[in-house]
Amino acid sequence: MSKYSFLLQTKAEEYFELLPGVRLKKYGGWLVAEAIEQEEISKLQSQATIRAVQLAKRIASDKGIQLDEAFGLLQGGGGSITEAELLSEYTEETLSMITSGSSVESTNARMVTAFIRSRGQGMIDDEWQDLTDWELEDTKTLPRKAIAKVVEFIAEEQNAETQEAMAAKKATKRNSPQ
Amino acid sequence: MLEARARSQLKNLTDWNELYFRLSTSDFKDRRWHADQFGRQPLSDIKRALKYLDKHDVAKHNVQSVATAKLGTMVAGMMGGKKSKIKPEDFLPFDTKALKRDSGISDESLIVFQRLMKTRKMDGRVIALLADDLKAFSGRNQEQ
Repeated sequence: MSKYSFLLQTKAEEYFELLPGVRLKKYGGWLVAEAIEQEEISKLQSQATIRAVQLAKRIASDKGIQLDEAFGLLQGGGGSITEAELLSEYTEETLSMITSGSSVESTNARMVTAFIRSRGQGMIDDEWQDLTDWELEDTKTLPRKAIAKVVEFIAEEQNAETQEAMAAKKATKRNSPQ
Repeated sequence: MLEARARSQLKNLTDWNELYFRLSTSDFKDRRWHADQFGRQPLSDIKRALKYLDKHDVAKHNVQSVATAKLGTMVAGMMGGKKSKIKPEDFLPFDTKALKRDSGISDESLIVFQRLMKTRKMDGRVIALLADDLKAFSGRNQEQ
């Protein structure tokens, strides 16, 4: 075997072309920074859910209504109490719930930022350079279509990892006799 | 229900600090686990590295204890006489039999092999090849 055979076996790096001047490296899975960002988002969402449930419970007990109805009120569903009444009575809790809750857009923007920061490259001075200092503000300047493409890419990378894990599990099962 | 699910999600978050310190303080001093590189490593690499480190640590601690284990065996042999069956492995901090169970031929395979040995004549070379694993497997079964 040639001592340079490892050079021939090396897999060429693959990229996802986002825009003519921006690309993302494919790893077939997520990176640590991306997983941390995702967990941060999930943590905030869980905390917001807990806060919303607790507020709904309080409203239900104060007003003597069903929990479902209280949830409906929080979602602006009308009912026996108006939104204005709710805001004036539970100002602090409602405001903190509104500010802590994250929309799909903001969640996507955070994930897109994390992905571009950890694996993105930009064509700068005629060469591809890592975009390690990419910020949320930079993501905000991206066209909607580009955001949607990155979100799709994020899902593809996650699927690739899941499929690889499943294939490895099947291979282990196949190799170990029953 | 919603609240319970949210609370359980909060409990199940990964402790990234722990993983980072586990890898960055390992013996290998790999550049990938440095603070400036850790975030850019694939999750699959982290899982593989942690799995490897666990095995490596067990082997390392066992190797470091070999001298003490041999001394222990010698003392036990002197006190117990020729009939003493104590081996150095018995003094190692991690059970080598359990390790073999993890990395060697699976117990399921050995059960099948034993059944085959009973029902048909097996090639002596195959039996010889698996003799150590079979012996260890029988030993484990007797202990249980």
